[in-house]
Amino acid sequence: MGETMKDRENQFTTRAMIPRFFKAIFKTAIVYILFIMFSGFTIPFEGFYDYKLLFTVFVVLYMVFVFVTELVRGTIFQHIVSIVQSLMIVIYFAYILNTGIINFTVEQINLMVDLRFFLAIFVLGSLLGFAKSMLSLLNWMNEKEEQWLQHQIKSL
Amino acid sequence: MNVPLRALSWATRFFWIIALAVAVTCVYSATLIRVDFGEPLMNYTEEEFMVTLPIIFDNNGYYSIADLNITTLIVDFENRQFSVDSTFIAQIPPQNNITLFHNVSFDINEIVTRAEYLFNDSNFTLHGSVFLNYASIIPFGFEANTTIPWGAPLFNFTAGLPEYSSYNGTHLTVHMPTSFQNHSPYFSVTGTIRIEIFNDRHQLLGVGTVFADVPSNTNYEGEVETIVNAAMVTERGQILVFVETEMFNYGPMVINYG
Repeated sequence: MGETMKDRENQFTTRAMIPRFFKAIFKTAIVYILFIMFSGFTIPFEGFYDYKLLFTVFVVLYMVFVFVTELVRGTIFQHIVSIVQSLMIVIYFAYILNTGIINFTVEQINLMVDLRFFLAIFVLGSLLGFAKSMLSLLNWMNEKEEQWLQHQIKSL
Repeated sequence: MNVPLRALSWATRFFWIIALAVAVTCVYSATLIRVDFGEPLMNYTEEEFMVTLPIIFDNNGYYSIADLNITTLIVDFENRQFSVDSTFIAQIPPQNNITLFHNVSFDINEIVTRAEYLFNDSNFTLHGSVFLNYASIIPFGFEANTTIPWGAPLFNFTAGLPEYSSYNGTHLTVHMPTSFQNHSPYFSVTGTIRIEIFNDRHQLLGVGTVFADVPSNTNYEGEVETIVNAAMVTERGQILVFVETEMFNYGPMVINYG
C-alpha cells in the first residue's frame, strides 16, 4: 500500500508510543470517571438482572477500546478497532436487552420493561458509528494511496 | 471525502449525546416517581363487597406516565374467578400527582352460596398487575400475587340434639342448642337462626327463631326454642335449620332426630 515501511516503523517507535500511551491513559481515565459518576444513577437498578456485572463488563470493554484506539491512532488499526467497537456495541446491547423486552423477578414481583425503543436507538447509533468507521478506513487508505502516488510522481 | 466524513462524525456524536441524554434522564426521572397507598376503604351492600384502594402517583419526573392500567383478579384455591377489576388512567403529566381509587369488588352471594366457604376457612389469591407506558417510549409492567385469608362465618356450625321440656298439658318446649365461630375478619354475622321441626309424617310441628349478633372472630353459643304439640311428636323426624343474615342466607341444614 501507500504506507512505506519507514512510516510504519516510525508509528510504533518508543518515542512515538510514549505520548500516545499517556494520552490513552488520560482518555481511559476520563471514561472511568464518567463511569463512576454515571453509576450513581444506576444504584436503584442494582440487584436486577445481573445489572452491575453487565454494566461493568461494558465499561471495561469500552475502556479497553478507548485505550487501544488511542494507542494505534493514525494507523489503519485505529479504524479497524473502531469498526470492531461499533459491532461490539450492537452485539452487547442486543444481548443484554434480550431483544428489547426484559423480564425479571424481584421478591415475588414479576417485572417487564420493554426497551425496544432504546435497543433500536443504540443499534442505529452503533451502525452510524460503523458506517463512519468504514468511511474513515476508506478515506485513510485513499489518502495513503494518494501520498504514495505523489511520492512516485516526485521520484520520476 | 473529508467533509461528509466530518459531517457523519458530528451526526454520530450528536446522535449519541441525545440518545444518552434521553436514556439517562429517563432512568433518573423514573427514580423520582413515588407511589403511595392510602388506607383501603371497605364497603359492603347486600350484593357486593367492595374494597377501595387509594393509590397516589406522584410523578416528579420529567416524562409523563401514559396508559396506566391496574388490574386485580381474585380466584379461589380451585382457580375459580370471583372478581376482575380494572382502573385506567390515560395520562399523568410530569410534575403532577394524582390519586386514583382502584375498586376491588366481588359478589358476596357468589361466595356465600358455596357452603364450603360458609363452614371452612380458605385462602383466595389476589393477582395484581400494573401496566403503563413511561415517557411514551418505555412500556413497563409488573405483576404480583398475594393471598387473602377467608374466614368461614359459620365455622364449626353445630346444631345439637333437641331437648324437650313441658310447656303445658298439651305442648312441649323444644330446645335446640346451636353454636359456631365467626372466623370472618370482614363482617359480623347478624341475623336469625330458624328451625323447623317435622315429625316422621312430614307434618310441621313448630318453627322457632333466635336472633344472633356475632362480631368477627367471636364464638356463638345459644339455643333455639319452639313450642310443639305433644300429640304430634313422633320418635323420629327432621329438623331443618336456616341461617338468615344481612350478608347471606343458608339452609336448610337437615338434622334427623330419633
